[in-house]
Amino acid sequence: MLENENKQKIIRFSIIWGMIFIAGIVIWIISLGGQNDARAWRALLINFIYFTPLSAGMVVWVAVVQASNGKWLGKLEPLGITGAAFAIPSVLFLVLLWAGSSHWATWFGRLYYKNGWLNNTFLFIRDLAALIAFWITAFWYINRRNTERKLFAAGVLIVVYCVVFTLLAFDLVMALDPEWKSTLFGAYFFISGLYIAITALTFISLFTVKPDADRRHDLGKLIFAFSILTTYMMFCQLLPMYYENLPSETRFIVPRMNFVPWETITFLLIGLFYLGPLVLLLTIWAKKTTWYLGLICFILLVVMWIERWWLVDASFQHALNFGWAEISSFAAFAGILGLGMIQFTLRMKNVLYQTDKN
Amino acid sequence: MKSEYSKELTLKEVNDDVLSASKPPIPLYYFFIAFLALVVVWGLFAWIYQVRRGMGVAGLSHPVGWGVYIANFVFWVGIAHSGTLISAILFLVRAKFRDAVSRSAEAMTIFAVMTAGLFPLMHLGRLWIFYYIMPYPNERELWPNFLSPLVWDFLAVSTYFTVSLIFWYVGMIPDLASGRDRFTKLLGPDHIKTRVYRALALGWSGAESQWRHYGRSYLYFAALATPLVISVHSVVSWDFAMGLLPGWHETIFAPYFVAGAIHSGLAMVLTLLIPLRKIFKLEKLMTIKHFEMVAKTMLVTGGILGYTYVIEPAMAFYSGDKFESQFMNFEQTGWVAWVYYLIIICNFFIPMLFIFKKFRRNFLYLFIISLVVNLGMWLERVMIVAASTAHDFLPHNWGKYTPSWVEISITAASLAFFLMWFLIFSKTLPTVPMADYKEQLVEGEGFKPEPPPKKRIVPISIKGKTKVMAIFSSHEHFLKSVKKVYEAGYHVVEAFSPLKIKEVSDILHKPKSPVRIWTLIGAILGIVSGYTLAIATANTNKLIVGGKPPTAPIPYTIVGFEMLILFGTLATLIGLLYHSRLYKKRIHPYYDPRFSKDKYGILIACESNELNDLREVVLSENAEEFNVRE
Amino acid sequence: MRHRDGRVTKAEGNPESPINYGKLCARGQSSVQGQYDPDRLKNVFYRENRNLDEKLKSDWESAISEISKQIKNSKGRVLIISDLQTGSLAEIMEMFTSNQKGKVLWYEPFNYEVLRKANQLVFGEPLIPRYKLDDTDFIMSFGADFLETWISPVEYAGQFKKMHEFEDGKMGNFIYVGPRFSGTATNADEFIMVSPESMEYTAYSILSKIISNGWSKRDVGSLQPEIDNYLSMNTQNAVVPDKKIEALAKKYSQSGSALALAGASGVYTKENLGTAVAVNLLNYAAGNLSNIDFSTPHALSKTAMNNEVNDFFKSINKDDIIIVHNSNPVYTWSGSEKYLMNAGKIIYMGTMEDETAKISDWMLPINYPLEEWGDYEPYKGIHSLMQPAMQSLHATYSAGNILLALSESAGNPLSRKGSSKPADHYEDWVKQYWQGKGIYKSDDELQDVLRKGIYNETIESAGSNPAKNISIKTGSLNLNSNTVSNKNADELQLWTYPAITLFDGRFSNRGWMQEIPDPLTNITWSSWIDINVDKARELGLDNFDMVEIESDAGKIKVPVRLTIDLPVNVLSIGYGQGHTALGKNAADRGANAFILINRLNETGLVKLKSAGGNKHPVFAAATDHQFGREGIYEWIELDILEKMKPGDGEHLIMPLPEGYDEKRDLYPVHTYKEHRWAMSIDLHACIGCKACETACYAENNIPVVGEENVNEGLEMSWIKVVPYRMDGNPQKVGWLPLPCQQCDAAPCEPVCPVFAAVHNEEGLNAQIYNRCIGTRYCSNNCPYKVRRFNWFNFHFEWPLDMQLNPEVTVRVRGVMEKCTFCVQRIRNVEYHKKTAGEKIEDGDITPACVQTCPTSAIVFGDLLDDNSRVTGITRHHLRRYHVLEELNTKPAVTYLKRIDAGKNA
Repeated sequence: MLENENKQKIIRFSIIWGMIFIAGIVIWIISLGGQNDARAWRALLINFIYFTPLSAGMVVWVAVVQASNGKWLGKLEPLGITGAAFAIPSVLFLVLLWAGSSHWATWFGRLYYKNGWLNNTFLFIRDLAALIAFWITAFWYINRRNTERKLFAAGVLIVVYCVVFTLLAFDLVMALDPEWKSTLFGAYFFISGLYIAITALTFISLFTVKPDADRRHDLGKLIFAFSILTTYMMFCQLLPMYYENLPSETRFIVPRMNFVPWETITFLLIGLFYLGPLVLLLTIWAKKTTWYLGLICFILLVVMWIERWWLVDASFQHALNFGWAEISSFAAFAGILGLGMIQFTLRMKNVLYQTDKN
Repeated sequence: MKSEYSKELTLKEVNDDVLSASKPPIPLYYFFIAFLALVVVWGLFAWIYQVRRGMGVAGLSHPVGWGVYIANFVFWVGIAHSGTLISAILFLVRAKFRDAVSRSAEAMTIFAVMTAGLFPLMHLGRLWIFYYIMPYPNERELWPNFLSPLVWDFLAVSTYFTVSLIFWYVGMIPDLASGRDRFTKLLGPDHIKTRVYRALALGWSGAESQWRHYGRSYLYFAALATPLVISVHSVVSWDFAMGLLPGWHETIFAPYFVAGAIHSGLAMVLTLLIPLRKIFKLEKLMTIKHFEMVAKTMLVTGGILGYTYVIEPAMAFYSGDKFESQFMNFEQTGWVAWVYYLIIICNFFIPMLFIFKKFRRNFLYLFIISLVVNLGMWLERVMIVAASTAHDFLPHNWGKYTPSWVEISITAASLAFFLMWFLIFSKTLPTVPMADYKEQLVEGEGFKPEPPPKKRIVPISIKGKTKVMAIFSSHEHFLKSVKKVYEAGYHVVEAFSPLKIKEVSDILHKPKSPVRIWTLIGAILGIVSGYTLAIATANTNKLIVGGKPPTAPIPYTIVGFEMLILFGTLATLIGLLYHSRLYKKRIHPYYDPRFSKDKYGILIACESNELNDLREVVLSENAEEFNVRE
Repeated sequence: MRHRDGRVTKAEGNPESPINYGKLCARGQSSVQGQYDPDRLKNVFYRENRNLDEKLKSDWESAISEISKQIKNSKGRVLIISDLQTGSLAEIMEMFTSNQKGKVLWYEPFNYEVLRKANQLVFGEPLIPRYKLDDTDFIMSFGADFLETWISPVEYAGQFKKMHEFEDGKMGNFIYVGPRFSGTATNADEFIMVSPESMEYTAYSILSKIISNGWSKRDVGSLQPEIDNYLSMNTQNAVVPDKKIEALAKKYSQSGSALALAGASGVYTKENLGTAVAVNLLNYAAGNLSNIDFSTPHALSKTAMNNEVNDFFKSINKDDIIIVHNSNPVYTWSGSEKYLMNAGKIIYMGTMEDETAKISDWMLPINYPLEEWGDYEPYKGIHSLMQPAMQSLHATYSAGNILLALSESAGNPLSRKGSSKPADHYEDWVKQYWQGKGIYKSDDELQDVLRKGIYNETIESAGSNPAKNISIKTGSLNLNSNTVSNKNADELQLWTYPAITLFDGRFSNRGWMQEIPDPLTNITWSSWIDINVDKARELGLDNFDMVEIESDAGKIKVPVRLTIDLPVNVLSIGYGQGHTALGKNAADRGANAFILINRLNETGLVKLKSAGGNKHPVFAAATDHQFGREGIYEWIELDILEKMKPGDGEHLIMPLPEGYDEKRDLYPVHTYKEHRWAMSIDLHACIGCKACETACYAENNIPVVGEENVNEGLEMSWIKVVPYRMDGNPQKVGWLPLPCQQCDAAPCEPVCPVFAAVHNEEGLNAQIYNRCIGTRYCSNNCPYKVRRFNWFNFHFEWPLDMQLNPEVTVRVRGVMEKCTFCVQRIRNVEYHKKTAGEKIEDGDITPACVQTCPTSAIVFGDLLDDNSRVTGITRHHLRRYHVLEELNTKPAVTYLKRIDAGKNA
């Protein structure tokens, strides 16, 4: 009886998510072509670098908690694992980006720095390889997470995550302005990735597994901690660049700080994305209260998307162009993620709820 | 089950083990101290010589303006880090293994910062006017330049010293109290040692009314110290990252330095504690498990270093920048190459051996590897400091650097200076946080009574009432009877315990400690005054440097942040002292020395006619003593 | 001369002078340091019966009476050996000696013998003519280093700049043919590296090409057989490809006004002479003779030729009394010592206790030129007049007075022809001489001429310019003997040259001259000998191995420097080091090249053998390569430059408000109210002579740190002129004078914790010494590394401290210091202009380096003044660029790229 109801629910949601996905794809395809062509493709990229760390991060979080001997995850663990549902979509989207690279990739068909590092084909081949490698490692860990070697596996996954996402950061984001470089950017990318992931994990969990007060408190703390860590990572880049004012470096900051409207966005991000949790999640009450925590998570998830947008688009256009291209591609990603997670929970029970093998 | 980190121990044993470490030392100990002192004096002479003759006696030159001194500074600040890391961060993430090592680690921090602080002075060309760097209204009518990383250094390191000192001391108060009681018993109340301990213990009685604030403020100290640790070494790294030299101007430097700092710090913890536990027979307290955890942490920090070692050349290659890539090439093939590779081996590959249990669980391996890492990290500092200046933009300026005898003597002296302090500490103060440790032990008994339903108690003055002191030796019974007595409506005046028991406060429905208000106000005050100081002074000076505007919020963030931590901590300390009445030397009148060791006590006030019923209640929880104090 | 309360603090040339136009070379700048040399001869000393170890103090009275007694009683002659004197003192000396049936030997180590012989041979005039480089358009120099030490370098430098600069689409070319890559060679558009004998051969082959192609303006056909014969006999010397010869011959003969120079100073070989002869013939055949003026010969023409000197020395016997004045034959003339010792008495009059003083019987300390009346006539008719610039520092007398006194007490007082009474004071003599020359008539005129300091006689140019007719006879070239067949396999050709700072060794005790590095090698305080790197490897020598060089005149030990800048089989060493006396700085340092020179019959052949051991000299810079780094030293090819239109050229980030770019900068606009001082340096004009470096030492009280400290990298020079080799073509070297760039966004400033390094309201990157606590962060963070730290208290030994410029603080240990465009001079002018209520004109302010630069390569001015030269250059000059522009520090020093005439040359 109740089983049935549950099934009904699941099917209903699957359909909804599926619709969203299809709608998104369709509208996005329509938005292609014309002077907005490049923008549409970039929208795809923006969502790729938003959803991939989000889903990957959810899995990695399980590993992180396990590696640091934390035992508090409980029902959150399977939820985190479902992030792996995005494995195949993420790879496919990357392939799609490759296919369209001629429309948006700044390095396309050009030779920078007399070394072939930014050769288009080479770049996408290695990034695909890396991404696939990461997901394989993820599944490998998922299957080992209750065995003897779980700690080792967790460690490996974390390392792979850092390496792969550093590569993605350099190739797909930093290289958008090939003249610009920052050694810390990779780290910034995977740390902020974990920040996004834990926020998403919390947000979703509030609707699904409904964690108890102590767990909510812990989740809140983690969001808090990672917001600060992400801020730190950004400040560590901003400060040296500000201090020496080298043209090769300021070219990243200048479009974001010397010109409105992006300047405004920057302040918005400082207020919410970077320093938001520091204020909004300071008190225990804030961390424990479901509706409040959920609200904050939602706001954060929005500004997190804006941050990705800001990372990419500010290097290209002075004006803020937000429209169907962005929305539709977001819908497409969100849809496939939602659908995937639901199906994953439904079909992969054996993977999700493993009994301790030792 | 007992806490996995400690062998079967009773509270009493903990006291005895820890405090007996400070029995009168053997002659060898004195010999060591004397030897170290000798080295220090030699270094002092070298320093004086340098001040009299001029910096030229150091191996420095044009273009290599900084050398071993700055390297040592960075190194020692790094060493300092693990201390706070272990006690603060691990405290926050409730990592159990911290307790055994935290006290010595904190001590290490203090002494390391003391040592580090000397080096910026040593490398000054004109030591005699070093105070020009301090922000105070002066006859020169000139404020320091808050844009200068060196000023940030000054703020960060002094803040760090203050905060770690407070953190260390506050953490020690209950143990000092146990020491006080123990020595009063063994050596009599007038023995010098007893007196010192009595003074330091600030009349700590382990009363619930103290523990309540104590626990809170300790948490806040930890919460403030953690970001401080990160900030301090970031600031140190910015001494270099703010420069525009290839090899210095790296955005990754801050996290990289922090990781490196903790890496070397943990290594130093191993180096010091492995012998310490042998010499002072603390094997029961410090088990291999603790050290294994330290080793595991080093895997993480080592990993971060490795990451950087890859990223830097990679970026030099990626950006095809002539200066960057040629500098990399210089590091990898120039006359410094041997150091470069040695560094990578010592700091990354060798600690990676900890992946294998074999190396983690063997004291000898741990010790050797820790030494290797210490060396590697020190070399890395020297490399970073000297190599970049020696090989910058205009080739005709390139130079070399080799430390002179003066620098070497002073470096040796600094090591001796540090060890000397540590030896003295290990003989005079409790090297293991007993109170925390005891908490772990009783946790085993895992008894957590739910607080009784809140009910209104008619406030009654304890004047003219009979006061009863019930004494327990079992954690569980103590808690139960507190609950019973409270529910029975008696007036529980005070509850004493040798360790922090959050539950008591809950049972007695005590309000949340107000210390947090103090912390918040302090913090806000700090950050505001930090920014104000920087901006205001810069606009009074009205001096343009490097084309930067006098009002530059981005760099001033550092000033603001350091002030935030400093003020926050001080405010918290004041709050603690005030609310837990630690400012008055007199100990609680009903205090019993055993409370600081292994006994619990409840002080109850009741009408004389209720005495028998009360006795019933209490004895039912088999109290050991039931003393009626008139 | 700049004075401060009765003491000279700095030497600056006389702008009136038609020769140097107020510019000075490094050596000239160092004259004040010679004045205050702590090792100066301060007292009268004497020796009994030649006991060289003893040195007895005496006083003037006894000295005069003693010596005059000896003169009176001497049966022999009284001879004077003196450095070149032209005016009053010369008169006195000649008269003095002739009274004692003696004579004066005008002795200069570099007497341009070769050049004069060649001129004798070809033009019948044994003189040093006055060369006019400025209106030539093509110069070939065969080993003549006319920008460093050759005859009148400062004058030539100025003229060379004019002929070599790029004006309305044209620039003159300069080819250097010779064995050594000298400073002059680095400034050539092309350096053709040949051994000495090939040098002669090349000259002749060019000549014969000109003749055979009938390009010659004047007929020398009669000589052709002889020349061709020589050429065919010495084909082993034909190293320069025939096409090159052809090209040179063509360019030389076709160009409007060409000039060839030869006769390297200090080289007396037949090859060098032959080259000089060939060059004369070249000039005659195809050159422009109006650039060679024999009517106003250079004073050096008067100096004694080698054989004269030799005969003079030989003739000395025990009855003779020799007075040595301001010259040091014992050091500069190998083997002269034993002849001098033959003399009955040696009386030394000089300012330094040098090698010659060490063997003399009397040492009489005389005034330094700055303490003296005097005059000098560099070219016939140009008189430079000197009055004492300050009181005598020590108990010294002027040479003139001493001679007058001696003659008086010897019984026959001297008096100038025409004047009745004997002059009782040298000053009177000088004035009488000047009046005689018609330099002034009344005493009030005297003041003016003295202030002017220079007097030009109007020379009636009726004096036939000998260069017009040639006096050479067929067969008198005696070229055949030039075949160097007598050379053994193990013998190498020696090529000696006067070092740019030490010259002939007379300056070797001046700290500045020792500390300022040799321009190309960056070696200081030491001596070395150059050898071709392949040859060295062949001989199994490594860099700075000690070797023993032996010639028929003597032998020396010296470390070898392996270099590509020298032909195989050639060794090259500079004069000036290897003193055994003279003073603390000079004595026992390096090797004395004069020892190797046999003046009468110089073969230039030496044997080299390893002496074991290795002595690394001290370097003041790490390298002269730029490893493909762009934006350091930049060249621009001539044909590119020719194509450029006005307004072209790099876009520079200006150190002005307009330097702010919203698309690049994070800092706000940075404005200036009154001035924004800036500088421009023309790398095409800079010849790397180091005059600016010396001037900076003098002006800013920069301490001399000494050999060990330089070796530690602690030297203090604020402006360094560093050589940079062109990537891919190491024998193209450019000179990069590097003062502080006074950046607008200076990386050194913000890192200073105590505001010791701040930006002042006129754009200067000021350093406030008494704030500085010595963190050295600023120096670390300076991309140009132009800041200097006081590692010790470098103290100025008395009387050197009297030279200190009171307007500049002397820095204590532990303080950072740097160039501030001579802020004291800026303030000075600003103050005076303000009090006078005038506004500052462009050129009113001249920092020391700008003032002395012989080629005026450095321009200083105000960027806010739209009409100032520096503004024009910074904004519009075609060759403008900033060093390390990409760092966005907005430097205020604009450089002008060196022109690479490459193929066109």
